[in-house]
Parts: sequence; structure tokens; C-alpha cells
Amino acid sequence: MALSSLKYWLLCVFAGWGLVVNAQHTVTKYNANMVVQGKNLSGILIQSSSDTANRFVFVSKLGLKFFDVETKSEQFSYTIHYFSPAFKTEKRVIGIVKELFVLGFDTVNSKKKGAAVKLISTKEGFCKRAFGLFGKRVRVCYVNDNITIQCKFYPVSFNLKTIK
Amino acid sequence: MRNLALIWILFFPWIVLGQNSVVLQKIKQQSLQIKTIDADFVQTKNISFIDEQLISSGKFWFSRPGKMRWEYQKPFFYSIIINGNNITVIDDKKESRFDAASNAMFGQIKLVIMNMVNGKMFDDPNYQTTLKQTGDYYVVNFETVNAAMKAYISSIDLYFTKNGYLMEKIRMNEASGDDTVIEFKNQQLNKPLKNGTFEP
Repeated sequence: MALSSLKYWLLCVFAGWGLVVNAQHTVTKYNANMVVQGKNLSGILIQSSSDTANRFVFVSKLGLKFFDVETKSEQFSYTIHYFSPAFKTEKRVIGIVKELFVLGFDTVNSKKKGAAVKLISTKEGFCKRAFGLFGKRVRVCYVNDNITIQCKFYPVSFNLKTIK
Repeated sequence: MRNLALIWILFFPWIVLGQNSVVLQKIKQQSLQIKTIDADFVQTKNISFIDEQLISSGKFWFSRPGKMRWEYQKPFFYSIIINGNNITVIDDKKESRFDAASNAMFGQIKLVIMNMVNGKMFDDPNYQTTLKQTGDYYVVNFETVNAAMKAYISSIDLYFTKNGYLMEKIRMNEASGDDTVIEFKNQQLNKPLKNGTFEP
């Protein structure tokens, strides 16, 4: 009786632990610069990561939200929670942004879907080149606390610096 | 006695409305008397799906009729200087200049910020105004009527002290439930500002 209740207790603890681990989110903040067709937008990018999803919120330094996009690891899917009407005339920007983040931050997902991801070491850090998932080429470079994400065929890029 | 209750029920809403319009009028009058402001501010951005807040702080200067400097000093440096129609943004060390008349986004930002400070927001047809009271504050809620503007900000709450009608807090509410709160501290009103305050 005592053993079975211990088993039951352990099962509950591990099941509970599993839930806690799954529910954990890591939040990273970046000082961010987004360049869209020569226009420079500066703000803070918040990345909230869990085992299954990455959520990115980009807010201007004045506090206005530019976008809130979620990419999921399990299937290749995404949710656009918000995109500023200022971009509405530029529908391609919405598409490019979500693709940049899927390829930039989610290698496992890209590999699953057959995108070619190549790691290149440089003197200062390393770069990740992804090509194939959307017929676009994305280059992501990590140098110290800086991350740059560039799309080769469309003039959108991000420059991120971790806020500690 | 019954008649007295009836009179009270009939006239109470009008008494409250009358009191509200008196308070709003006093707030507006106080805003119009402000010639200069020198203040510190703390901005807190609340994002509904994460527990952490984005906190930044800096300095704010205003001079009637059309000059303002809004300067974030921590944890980053970012400054917006408005001098008439000229808007200068200093982001870290990079300086950019805009014309409020030709740049729609900065033109709108200029209009909203300046109107909040100089009291013109009360007459802006893009907002529906209501007044409520909470603790030490009169809170004027500006509900965005304009659909295009609502996509950015659903409403703005301005907090005025009950003694002195001084604006101490701004809350900008988004439709998603996120908000941005700006609290002003160490406010000095109508004192001469240093030369060059509104120069980049």
C-alpha cells in the first residue's frame, strides 16, 4: 500500500515537473534596429521562447508595438498576433518578417522541412546561412551579443543587441 | 420625502455631469497656464503574455507653444526633439531629421504628445472624453473614436492630481491588453529652461 502510494506520488511529481518544464518561457530582450526598404525602425525586440514556440514582440522605444509574431516548432506554422497598420501597405514585409524569424531562430524546424542550413565560423563569431524553405536566402550572424539577420532577396534586415 | 427622493434621482446624473465638466474645465485651464515643464519620467511597458516589464527612464522638457524634448537615458539613449515642425531623433549616436508636415508617423506622434501636454486634446474630435476618480487622481479617459488611430492605441488615460490638477501619469492602452505607463516625477513648471534644450 505504502509502495503503491509512493509510486503514485512520484508519478504525480514527475507529471507535474513535466508540466512545469513545458510551461517555462525564457525571455530575452534585444535593442533592435529593423531596416525596411531603407527606412530605419528602432526599438526593443522581446523573444519569449518555450520548447514548442518562439514569440517575438517588437515595440518602438516610445512604447508603440510594431508587431507580435509567434512561430511554432512542432509544425511549420506561425501566428500573427499583431502587425502595425503602418505596415499594411507592405504585405510582403509581414511575410518576410515571420520567415526571417523562423529561419533565424529555429534551425530544427528548418531542417525538418528540408531547408539547407549551413554554419560558417568566422573570426568574430559564427553565421548561419539558410536557403530553400521559402526560396529565399537568410543569413544570421552571431557576434558576441550582436545578432544580424538579413534577407538576400528583399530589403529587410534586423540588427539585435542583447540587453542584459 | 418621496418627492425629495424623486428629485434626487432625476437630478443626480446632471449634478455629476455638471461636477465633471467643472473639473475638466479646471484641468484644461491649468494645462493652458503651463508655459514650461522640466521633469523626469519612468516608462513601463506591460506586455500581457510575459511577466517582465520593459522599464525605461529619462528627462522631459516642454516649452509652449511648440517645443519638446523627450529623452530616454536608461537602459538606452533615445531622444525626440520637436521644435515647431522640425523633429530630430537621436538614436544612440545617430541623428535623423524629419519634417512633421511630410512624415505622417512622426507628425501624428508630435500631435498626440503635444496635445496631451498643452490641453488641446480635450477639443480633439478623434477622442471621446470621460472623467473618473481614483485615489489621489482625476483620470480623464480619451477613447479613440477614429478607427485608423484605434489600431494603434484604443484609449489614453491622463492622471491629474486632485490638488493642483497636475498631470502625473499617462497610460496608453492597446486593444491587445498591453499598455504603456509614463510617470512624471520632480516636475518643475514655468521655470526658465537652459539655452539649447531644444537643440540636438
